[in-house]
Order: sequence, then structure tokens, then C-alpha cells
Amino acid sequence: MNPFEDPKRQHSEELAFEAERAWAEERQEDAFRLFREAAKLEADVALGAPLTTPRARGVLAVSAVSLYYKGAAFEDAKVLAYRFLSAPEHLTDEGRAELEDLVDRCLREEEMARATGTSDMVPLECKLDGGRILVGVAPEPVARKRRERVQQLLMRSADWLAEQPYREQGPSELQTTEQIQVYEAPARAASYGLRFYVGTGRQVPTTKRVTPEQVVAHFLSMAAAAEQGPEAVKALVDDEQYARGYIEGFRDIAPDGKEVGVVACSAPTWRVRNAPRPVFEQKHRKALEAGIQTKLRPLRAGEREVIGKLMEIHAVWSGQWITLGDPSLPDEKREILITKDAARLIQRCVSLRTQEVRAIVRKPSGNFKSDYLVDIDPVPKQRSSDDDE
Amino acid sequence: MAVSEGTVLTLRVIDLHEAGAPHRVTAHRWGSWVEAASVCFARFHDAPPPPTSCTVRRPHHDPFYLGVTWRAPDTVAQDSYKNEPDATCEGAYCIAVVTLHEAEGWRYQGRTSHATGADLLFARDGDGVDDFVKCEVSGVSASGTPVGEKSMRARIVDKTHQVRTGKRKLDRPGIAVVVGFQTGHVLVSEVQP
Repeated sequence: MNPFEDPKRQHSEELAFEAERAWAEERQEDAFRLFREAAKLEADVALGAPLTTPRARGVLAVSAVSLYYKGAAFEDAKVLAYRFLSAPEHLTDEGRAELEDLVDRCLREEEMARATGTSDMVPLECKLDGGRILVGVAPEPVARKRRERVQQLLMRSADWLAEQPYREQGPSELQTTEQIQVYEAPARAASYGLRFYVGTGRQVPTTKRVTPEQVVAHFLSMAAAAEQGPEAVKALVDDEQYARGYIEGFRDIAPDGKEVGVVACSAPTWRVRNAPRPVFEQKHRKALEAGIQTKLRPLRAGEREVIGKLMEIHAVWSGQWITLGDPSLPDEKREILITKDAARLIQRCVSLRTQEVRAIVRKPSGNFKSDYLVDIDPVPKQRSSDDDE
Repeated sequence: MAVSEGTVLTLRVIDLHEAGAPHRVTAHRWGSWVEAASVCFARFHDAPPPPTSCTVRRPHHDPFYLGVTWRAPDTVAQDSYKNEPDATCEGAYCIAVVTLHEAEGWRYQGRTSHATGADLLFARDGDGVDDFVKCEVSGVSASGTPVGEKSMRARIVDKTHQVRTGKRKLDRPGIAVVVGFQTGHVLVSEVQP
């Protein structure tokens, strides 16, 4: 009998379908139970597949093991995978590699579940290839820089989804309150893989709820936009600082062409469906770099640009103003700028304090001496294409 | 599509609700995919009649035309497919299954496990147990952004590359399908190992 025509497969697919629905409706325990039931049926079919059809046997085995994996039955998944792997001559290379990959995932996620007490971690992988990357070996600064950047951008994504104000520095509130947690688990990969798991801890009622699936999906959407170019990022994020943060982050993740040839991002999980799988090359890094060096919006009539160090921020009942200038010069040489749109601009100024900034200012219509601050941004640092490597 | 005067077009009319019968797909899953396809079509087209016209293009083959019949999704269906990527993905599966069956008699055999570089498995009548092919499917149904044939072609190049390189080396022919719900174009590419 053709194993694909076994009625148990139909039943297994039905149960897997129900499980996916249960997951979508946030009935996690039901979803796990249904996946495990589906896995048992699929395992029966796989074990009964003729030894003379290694390709079908491999596909069915992978399907059964991955159903146990989806059901968080990591032990069952490993036992079944080992059973097939113990007779490698009855599997194709592809089937063997897939099963080994699943065993590796089970080991990591079993450990993760033990540490966190939950089985809802969502994986994200960044595969580095080419340049000086070897199988499982990469120059330390190359891997470290990208590891840090991916972690930062995951938390940036969580902040954005939770509608948090832009953070210039410091940890995300979602991370410090353990609402979103990022773990790292070195990946098995044909080249060099950075693998992260995003999970959730306790929920803080004051913050908008964000799920790990949303965080990973948003990260990949932004990565796909960055792959298209800086303008695509700006089109997706209507906050200039967030957009710049994403562009800078993905510029640093993208390869320089010498140390790293290609960086591919993906979420190998059924929980983030239809997620893009952007692949960065050197040209993407250059395009993102060019996007950062563009100026603030063009000046309009009556406006001028001021560049200087942000020295003082005053926010008192009677008014809000900042001073910009060269610390070595006397006070009268410094620019005093009144902030009209106080809440937004003062918040940005606080996040930019002591930095070199570029401000757009406008002359007030009355007899005021000081100009109005219209917009403010940090002056981008000039960098070579591979100064992080 | 440029059609000269006097050209007779054969339009095969397919009722999506009935089209799951030849395939190894459960009624629930098929119903869900049909519903998703209806939600995607409804973003751009009036509900049949007349059937929504789809043009199927494959390299080295003449295009053929499908008239697709679907029902206007009710508010419950619209709500359950609020998530645009999910609806587009499942809707595209539905149209891919129908198209491949019409094109070469491929029958859906099941889904592959996630992250293997393919979505669906297909086999034809009389094929050996090991002769199934893997198929990568992509849908284009973003509301608000018109997607032309150029973007569709770029997408099929991407998907073909994905099938060819996959996560592992391709050991048998594979198929890539891109479904454009707005334009009614279905692009099919067959990939040799």
C-alpha cells in the first residue's frame, strides 16, 4: 500500500489542522495534545513505509518527528528520530539531515523549556556564509557584532509593537520586566548559524501585550524591508528614530563582502507563518549605509540647520528650551532653542543628551530672541564598510 | 493578455468548493483553504458569477485559462482571515492545488514539515511511491499595494531559487507556484535538480 494513501495520514492531517486552529485560538494545551495524537498516527504510517522507498520513508519520518516536536513532546520526537536514524541506509541524505536537525532542535528546546518552564519559545536564525566563515567557525568579532545587533533589533521590534517610546540606549522595559526574553542557542548549520529563541515571561498590565511570534515576525518583516532598501524601512515605520535604528541595525548585520559573504535570516517554525526569508549581500549593506547618511528632511522656507553638542535641556513650568554648542566656547556663542512641541522634542532631546546633534530651527514670528526647535537628530557617525570586523 | 480578434479561448470553470475531491486533503483543511482564497479574491474581485478569470503561465507551454467559482465570504470568514499573510498563504495553497491538477494531473499528497524549503507534496496517478515532488507556493494579495506582473515574475524567480537550493540539495524535480489574487495570474515553474 502507498503510505501516502493510508487513512491514518488523513486522520493525522486532520488532527494537525485542529491543532493549528487551537494554537491560533490560544488554546495551547489543546494544540500540544492534538499535535501529539497526530504524531502517533503519522509515526505508525512512517514505520510501516516500505524500506525500498527511502524518500517517502524520510518525508513521513520527518513529518511524524516534527509533529511530536510541535507538540512539545521532545523525548518522543528524539526516540522516533533515533529509530529511523539507526537504519540510515533506508533514508535519503535529505531525510537523514532533516531528522538530525529536528533532534538538535528538540535538544535545545527541551533545555529551554526546562529553564523557562514554557514551551512557547520562537526560534530565529541568522546564517552567515562566505568570506572567512567556515563550517561552524567564524571570526569572533564578526559573530559577536551580529549577535548583539540581532538581539537589539529583536527588543527594538518588541518595543515598537508595544508602542514604547524610542530608546536611544539602555535596556528595553519589556526585557527588564521579563515580558520578552531572548535566549541564544548556537545552531547547527552548514556554515555558521546564530540561533535565538524569543519567549515570554510574565505580563505587565501597563504594557501592551506582545507575543514572541509577533516579535519574530516583525523582525523578519523589517529585515525584508531593509533588504529592499532604506526607503522601504521608512515606509513601514513612521517614526524617524525607529526607522534609523532598524536601518543601522540591519546595516551592521548585512555582510561586508570580505569577512562575510551572505547573511540569511529565517524563522524555522510553523508558529510564524509565511514569514519572509531575507538574504543580505554586500550591496544591501552599502544601500543601508547610504540611507543613514541622508540628511534630516530638507529645510523649508524660514528654517536653518544647527549642528552642535546638546548641552542643556530645560523643562520647567514656564517653558522648555535646550542649548546647543561647543562646550569650549562662552555661553553667548551657544544656541538657545525653544521647544514648541515640548513633549515629543524634550523626550527626544533627553534620549540624545551629550551627543552631537543636528537640529532644524525656525525664526519665531514675534520678538523672541531664540529660535524654535523643529526637529532634532543625532549626527550619524562615519564608518567604513567593515569597521566592526 | 493580448487576444487577437477571432481567437477562441477555452476557459475551464472550476468550483473551488468541489475541487478538493481528487486530492488527499481533509474536508476541513480544504474548506479552510477555499475560504482563505475567497477572502483574497474578494479583496479585488466581485463574487461569481461570472467566474473569476485566472491565467496560468508555465515556461515552454501555452498559457491556459481557469474560471474560478467561489462564494463571497461572510463576516465570520472575513474575521477569521483578518491576518493577511495567513489568508494569502492558505488561499495560494488552494489555487496552486487546483492549477497543478489542471496543468498536469498532479494530486496533492500532503504538506511537508516546516522549514524544509517546500510547502506541499504532489504526485501523479501511476507515479511510484518515491516519485512525489515538492512544491513551494507563494501568494500575492496585499491590500492597498497593486502588484503587477513584474513583481510576480520577480517572486517566481525567488521561489524557483528557493526550490532549487532549498534547505538541502534538490534530489528530484520540484515546482514553484506564485498566485496573484489581484491580477488573476498564476505562474508555475518546474525546477530540475
